[in-house]
Amino acid sequence: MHIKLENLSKNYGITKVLINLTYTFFSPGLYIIFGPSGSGKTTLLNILGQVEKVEEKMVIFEPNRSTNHPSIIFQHHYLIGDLTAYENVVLPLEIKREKFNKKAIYELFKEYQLAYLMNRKIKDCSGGERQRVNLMRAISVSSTYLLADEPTGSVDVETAQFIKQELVKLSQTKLVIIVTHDQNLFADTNAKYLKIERGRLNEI
Amino acid sequence: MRFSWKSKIIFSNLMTNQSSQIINVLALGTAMVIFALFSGFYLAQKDTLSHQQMLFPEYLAANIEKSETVTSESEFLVLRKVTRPTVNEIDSLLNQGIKAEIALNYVPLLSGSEMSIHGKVIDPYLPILLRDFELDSNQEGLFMGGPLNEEESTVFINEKMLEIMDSNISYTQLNDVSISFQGEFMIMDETYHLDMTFKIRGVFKELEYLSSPKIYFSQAQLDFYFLNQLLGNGESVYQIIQTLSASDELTGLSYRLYFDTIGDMNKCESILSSLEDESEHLSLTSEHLSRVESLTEFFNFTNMVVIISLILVILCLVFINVTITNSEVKKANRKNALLFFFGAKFSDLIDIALGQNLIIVMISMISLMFVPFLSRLLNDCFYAYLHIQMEIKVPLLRFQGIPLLLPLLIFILVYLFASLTSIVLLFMKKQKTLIKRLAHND
Repeated sequence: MHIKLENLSKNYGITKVLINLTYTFFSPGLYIIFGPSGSGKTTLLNILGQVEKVEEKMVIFEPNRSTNHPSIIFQHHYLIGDLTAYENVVLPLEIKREKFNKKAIYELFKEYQLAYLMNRKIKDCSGGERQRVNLMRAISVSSTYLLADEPTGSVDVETAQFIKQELVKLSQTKLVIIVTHDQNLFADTNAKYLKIERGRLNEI
Repeated sequence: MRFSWKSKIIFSNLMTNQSSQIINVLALGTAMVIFALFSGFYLAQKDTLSHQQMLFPEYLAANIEKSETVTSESEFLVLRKVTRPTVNEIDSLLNQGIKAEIALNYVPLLSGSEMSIHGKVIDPYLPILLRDFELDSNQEGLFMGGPLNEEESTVFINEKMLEIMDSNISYTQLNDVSISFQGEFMIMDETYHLDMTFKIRGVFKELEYLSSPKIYFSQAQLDFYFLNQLLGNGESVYQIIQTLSASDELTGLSYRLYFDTIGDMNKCESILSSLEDESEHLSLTSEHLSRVESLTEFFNFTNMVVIISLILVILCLVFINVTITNSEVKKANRKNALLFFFGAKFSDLIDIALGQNLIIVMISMISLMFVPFLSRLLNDCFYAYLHIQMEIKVPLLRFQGIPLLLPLLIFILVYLFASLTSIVLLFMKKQKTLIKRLAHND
């Protein structure tokens, strides 16, 4: 699959946030979008995540829109504090009534070295642990592409490295688009870098 | 045990904002208790009002008088002349299927006399005439105790009179008490000296609301006594009072009527009240009927005050509930947006709100356990301050023959209200905007 932007523009009132963006994201692949604050990074991510509505002809999903489901890693993890790490991870699956194997989820926790906090409430977890659970939640849902908004923004170096490795690994099988300020983190990968400035997108 | 994701969210919401939820539970619980107590108060009032008429030893007796409108020059002034009706007039009323006995009213002779107990003058008091001292079951229920003196001239007294005499006196000690009446009356240009002495037969408990000291005389004893009180012309006081003019004050401007049953009395009252608009009509009067009427008016007034207070209190509690629910919905905004993002439908969010309300309302229902205790407290307050024997019993277990009907009604009412508030607030928060807020890290 791929996502094609065709003269994508977005205004908030008289403010032009995105101006005539034309670009194609191919799957699998890793794309890093960076740029100064207020440049329209998050708006673009929301449009790609089908949260922000635009004219359909401006964002074309191949083979079609209905079979493409995004998964998003939010900058602020938005986990539910009174639910356990496990319950948070399986919540989207339960809502979507997707069948899941508890053992497989446990294996995922083990892989993320978080098996010890499966039954711990999120409010009792550290920031790094929360972000890793956030990542687990995003990847456990069946999706065709993954969007990440500053996934390493508020974690320590070790966790940031771990998240980076996971995203790189995922990008080998699906489209992964990351919005970040820390473009250097992915410097040693074969990611494509896109700079967004004053509403315009340029591949570096 | 596996819970659905909605149950987990409900539990999480409840755990997240415990203090608000506790205030919410308290507000709803208080509203339920107030509602239950008011229901109990209203039902008790109906029972008390229907029963209060029986709380008098003279419950089957009343005076019957004739009221006549006198023409007045002023259209704003209505004058009424009250006289004693004729026996024929009363008979024609009783012929409408009312069983009652007509008797002379000796109250002017009794209240016009000076009453003293062992030389100590006691004033004021109210003389009440009973048909005789053969007590029926209702009167026996009101009988508190006494020597039941079988002498010829005896009276009953009420508790208020006993208090005036000596509150420490025991019922058996009343045997030694004599009550004397002495007075002078001009009857047919002749001075009549009344001099009677009575022994106390017993003490009645009557409705305490607006109660005053009373002495209950036996009409049969008084008839016998006054039949034997002969004046100079050889006629008895009884005969003379019988023949006095309708407007003579010694007649008490009335006859005494002793009804066979309370049904006869109610029938008579209803016939007479339908004739009230006529310029000349008969009417029943009695101290106890006035008190019943006064109590009914008092209850009507209390009802109005209670309803207004109830509305104000429930409005305050509603505001608390709406404010808390609003703040809860606001706090849950991001969580709801997240659920929405993961694919939850608006109906799922409503299910969560309804489930949350169900738990809160069910916990609030525990407050109903305090209702029996509070109703007892209210009963005691009513008795202590108003001397009304109210029996507020909130029918929590069975009402109108249906088990748990009242708690069920309260539950449905409160649940519907709380749920409606949540749903309206959820609608107002526009979920689409929520997703945007979530995406914008708002």
